[in-house]
Amino acid sequence: MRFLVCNNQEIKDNSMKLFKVNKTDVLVGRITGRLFACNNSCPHRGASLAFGELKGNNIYCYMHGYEYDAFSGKLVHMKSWKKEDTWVEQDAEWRKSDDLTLYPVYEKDGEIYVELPDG
Amino acid sequence: MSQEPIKVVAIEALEKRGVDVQKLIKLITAGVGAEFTTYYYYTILRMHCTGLDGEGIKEIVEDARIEDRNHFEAMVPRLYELGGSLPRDIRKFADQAGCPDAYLPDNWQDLSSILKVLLEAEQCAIRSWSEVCDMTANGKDPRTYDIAQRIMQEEVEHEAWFIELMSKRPSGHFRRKFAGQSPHVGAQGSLIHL
Ligand SMILES: [Fe+2]
Ligand SMILES: [Fe+2]
Repeated sequence: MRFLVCNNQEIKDNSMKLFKVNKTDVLVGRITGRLFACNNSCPHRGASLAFGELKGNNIYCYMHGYEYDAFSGKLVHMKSWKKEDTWVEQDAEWRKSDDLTLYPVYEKDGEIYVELPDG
Repeated sequence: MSQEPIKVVAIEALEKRGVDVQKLIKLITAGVGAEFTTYYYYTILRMHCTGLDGEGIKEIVEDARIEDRNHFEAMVPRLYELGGSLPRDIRKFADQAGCPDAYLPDNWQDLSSILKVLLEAEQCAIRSWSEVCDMTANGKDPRTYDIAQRIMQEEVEHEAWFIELMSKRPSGHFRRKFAGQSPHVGAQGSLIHL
């Protein structure tokens, strides 16, 4: 189902903003003119991605430093926990993460809309 | 004859206030997972606080260790009230923990290496309980919020202690009345039984 999110002016270039859309926390942003929208929950451990930052095309999660491509949703950088040579890397199971949940987003007549799954 | 599921008004009240209960359960399960694994790993870290300088921080590590266990004790009953549960298999529990494992570093004989691991763990705990506080604040879920904010108070203290030890930045730390007193969470956790 399609929902109106905000006025086009509200999302400045290279920024992102959190909206509650029909009970879902949706993060909407723009990177070099292109819009993206995703669920605000980090697929790794559920942190709020709105507290993260944009790094190029990626959303960087503040909780564990993972980075996801804002347009493909793919996990593109899994932080290593071996901060120093003498540290031990985290277990592979713990490090695993799904990809972002993306939502179709578009601009029409100066307004931004997202498409959320029904139900 | 099919039985009607019993309505839990305490959950309905949260849903009506816009709390995503399934997400909250997930965050809490991850949060208590991190407390439990931290308790385990801090045991190892504390064992390796040896020598003259190690003796100086042993008791602080012990306070943080027992208090983290108490955080687990305090929040787990709430997890079940919300309809969640601990994974049957402890391996699954550890794999979903909200914070990385606080492994003993190879150069543990250099005490500052242990302090770095301790600090990292506390900082992750603060971030993860902040998420639970955010979801439950402003009257949305006063019961979860109350427990989470108590845990936060002690995590903030733990972080400050370890920063003081690493950098001399004052934390206001003075010894607990007894090891792992857990002054903010105490009555909510296991210490209630004592
Ligand atoms: Fe803790
Ligand atoms: Fe702690």
